[in-house]
Amino acid sequence: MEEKKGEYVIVTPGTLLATTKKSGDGIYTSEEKTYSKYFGILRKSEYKVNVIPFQHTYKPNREDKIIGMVKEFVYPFFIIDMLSPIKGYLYLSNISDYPIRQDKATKIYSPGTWIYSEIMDISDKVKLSMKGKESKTLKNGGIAYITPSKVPRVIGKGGSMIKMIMDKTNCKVLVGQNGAIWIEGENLNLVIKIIKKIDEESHIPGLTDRINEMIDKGLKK
Amino acid sequence: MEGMIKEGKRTDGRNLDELRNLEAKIGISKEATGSAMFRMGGTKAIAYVYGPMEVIPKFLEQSERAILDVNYNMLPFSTEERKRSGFSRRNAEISSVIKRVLESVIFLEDIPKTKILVNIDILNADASTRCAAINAASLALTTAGMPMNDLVTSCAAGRVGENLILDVAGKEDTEGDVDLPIAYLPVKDEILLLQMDGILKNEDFEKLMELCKKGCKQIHEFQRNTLLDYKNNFNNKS
Repeated sequence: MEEKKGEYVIVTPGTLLATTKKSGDGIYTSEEKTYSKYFGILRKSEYKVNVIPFQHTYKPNREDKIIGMVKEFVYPFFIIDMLSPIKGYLYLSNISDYPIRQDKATKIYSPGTWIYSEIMDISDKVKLSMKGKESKTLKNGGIAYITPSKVPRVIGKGGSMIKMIMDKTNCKVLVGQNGAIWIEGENLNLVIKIIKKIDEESHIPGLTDRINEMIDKGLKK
Repeated sequence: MEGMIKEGKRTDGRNLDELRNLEAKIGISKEATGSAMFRMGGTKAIAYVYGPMEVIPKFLEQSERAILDVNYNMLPFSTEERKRSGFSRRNAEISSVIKRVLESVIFLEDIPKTKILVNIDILNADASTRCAAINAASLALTTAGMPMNDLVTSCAAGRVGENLILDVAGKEDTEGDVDLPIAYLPVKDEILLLQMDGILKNEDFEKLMELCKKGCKQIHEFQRNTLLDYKNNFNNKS
């Protein structure tokens, strides 16, 4: 029950992956057999079987770094849209180590502002924190989206893909684990196109070469 | 009624155990998370899936599982005589039946505190609309990235006179003796929906069930191939 083309295998829900119980993501086991849960790409290793879905919504995890947009302020927190059905909450007390006045905070985090933040708690509400060193508000740039399960592909092995994009296009690229990507620089539209291409073709081998070509073509124009 | 089947062939030229022409399209809407069209002969259904999204009003939210909302709607121009638009008891009943089918297919506990909205419209009705609706919804849910047990499939069988037939259509539905639609989950060999109009002998019922399962397996294979083709062709285009 598998379709092979090149090196990747596309599976549909209910496809039999193994006749023993296996561990991994995007799979389920029933009666000592392992089946696929999603419509996606199969990645098999010695001990694990993973299915990477083509389409997926973000599920918040602790210590994830995400990019979100401030929606509104309801005392004592800001409501943050994380591109997920679940909202994020940024409490006034989690903005800084020092106490911050409410009127000052509402000026900095006005509705529509994009922020790079860290998830500190998911037990009751998803609580965000701006206390981390990397956390900041994002200005003068654009946003692009990718399916959260494909975020590792944008970064590449040891950050190779993102480094290449940043060096060639002279853009700063900041990737949130929720699939939102912040881009600063001159060739903003080119980078948005590149990210869209990665989203559509992440499972086909030879992606780096194709992206390389695309950047060269885009820069010539 | 007996004239409907002559020498083992039906009025539309099909064999007794033959499905109608199948056609499916995926990704027909850009706004929806997942969308699909499914056609079985003259019956055409489109399904749109939105979500997972936030639950509004908040009190409907469930902390351990997602909630599912299914709207089945037969459009006014879908039948031979114009149908009144708006609420009807038939639409409400079929919506609730389809909801129960889909609830047992999706892993709702994987996406708690959210809502999935499934809208199904029947563009053209020529018997077994609920089957086409389930098949379309199944494809749409899969492309929307929902965690699922398997692709759920559905088809109907019936009896005309003494003949048992698969995939009833046209006059076979209105003038036939028995109509039996089922929804089937091939991976678990499980029946998720079973409705029946008319009277059947025990042995005939078992034969019809086997016939239905055979049809469902064919549809399942067709759905799977459609999904694989969609992804492969999509990559060739871009």
